[in-house]
Amino acid sequence: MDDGPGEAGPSRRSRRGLIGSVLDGAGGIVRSVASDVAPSVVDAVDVNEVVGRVDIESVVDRIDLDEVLSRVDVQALIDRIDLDELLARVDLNQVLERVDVDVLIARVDVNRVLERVDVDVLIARVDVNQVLERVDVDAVVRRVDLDELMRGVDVDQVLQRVNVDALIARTELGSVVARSTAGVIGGALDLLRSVGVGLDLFVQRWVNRLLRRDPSAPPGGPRLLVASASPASEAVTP
Amino acid sequence: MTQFAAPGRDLELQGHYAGAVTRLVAYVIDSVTLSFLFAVGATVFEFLLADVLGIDFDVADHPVAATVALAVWSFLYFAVPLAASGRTFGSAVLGLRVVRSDGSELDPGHAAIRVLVFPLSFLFFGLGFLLILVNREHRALQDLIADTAVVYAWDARAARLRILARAPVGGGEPGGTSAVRSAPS
Repeated sequence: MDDGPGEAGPSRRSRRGLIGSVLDGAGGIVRSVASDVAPSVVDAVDVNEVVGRVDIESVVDRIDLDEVLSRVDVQALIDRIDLDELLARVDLNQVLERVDVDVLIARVDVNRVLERVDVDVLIARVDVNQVLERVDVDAVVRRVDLDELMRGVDVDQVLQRVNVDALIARTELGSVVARSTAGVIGGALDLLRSVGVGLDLFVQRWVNRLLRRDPSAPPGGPRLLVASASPASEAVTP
Repeated sequence: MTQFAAPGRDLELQGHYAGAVTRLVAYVIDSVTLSFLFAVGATVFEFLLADVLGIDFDVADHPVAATVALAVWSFLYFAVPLAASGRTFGSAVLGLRVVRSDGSELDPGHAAIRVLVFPLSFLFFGLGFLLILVNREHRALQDLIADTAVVYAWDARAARLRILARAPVGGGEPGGTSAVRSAPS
């Protein structure tokens, strides 16, 4: 096809010209055939059938996905994805139904996740009232071991917070106590003793002032009685 | 006088050293009781001698015998109940109790010593009693010698309940009538 200068004779020149003209003609024919026939052929081919006959699994197996992924700029890809739109089109419930949560959780390092979670922020976003509204408190209470719970309660501390004076004053218990233990003489003795202690403290305050002691200092007591801290009539217990 | 009464305070002071006023009142009650009983006893004795034996006997005519009798009677009056319960009549009325200096129960020996040395406190214008005011443990001379102490010891809890039961609602001790106290800070 090259008609460049040469040293061949006239016969070779004429032969080359023949072949060239033939080849030129064939090329034109082929182009003509390709342009006329190819669309018809392509139309005649059922691409889906072709694809169906391809063993995609074996193709995929032959692809080095790591190599492919290493050549992909994932970040750029992610940047170009509209996640909102994507998520809007995803039926998450359907996805979740197909997910084996147990397997998923088994593969998750929960501690590592929790380390990255700001619990305070999380709790701040939780509507506790709403949560509690959805809680079956009765069922929770039924599952509580009250005996175990009560074992952890310091009853003495609870009773210390009870104002027995007010309790007696507000209930019939007061009149029962009064009727059962007190007569006129008993009441007079209670008053006499209490007034006596008051006068003792009054005198002692003045004496302490004169002796330059702390006037408000309460009287001490014998080691065995004061240390026991159990004021009662039977205060003397060796 | 009732401004000095405070049942809650009394409860806290049980087992603490008793002060001078209550001890003085207790002693006065004991002295009056002792004297009254001695007088009654002397009268009964004179009556018995005169009526049963026909002997005309007047205690006032025998001062030495009367003094000895009074001393013996006084010793018995104080020592026996002290040895038995740590209280005389007067101290029981005032809610006092005599104990050993460490708080243990008074034994008969120390009770007897205490009663025997008791008159020493009257010497030097009652200097022995003045120790009750000055001494931090409110111990008089007889207490120091006999190794004893006097403490408040009555059923202050029951007394407090009785006082509260008589008080009108809301008129109890300071602190209101709420049945539940505020949590301790």
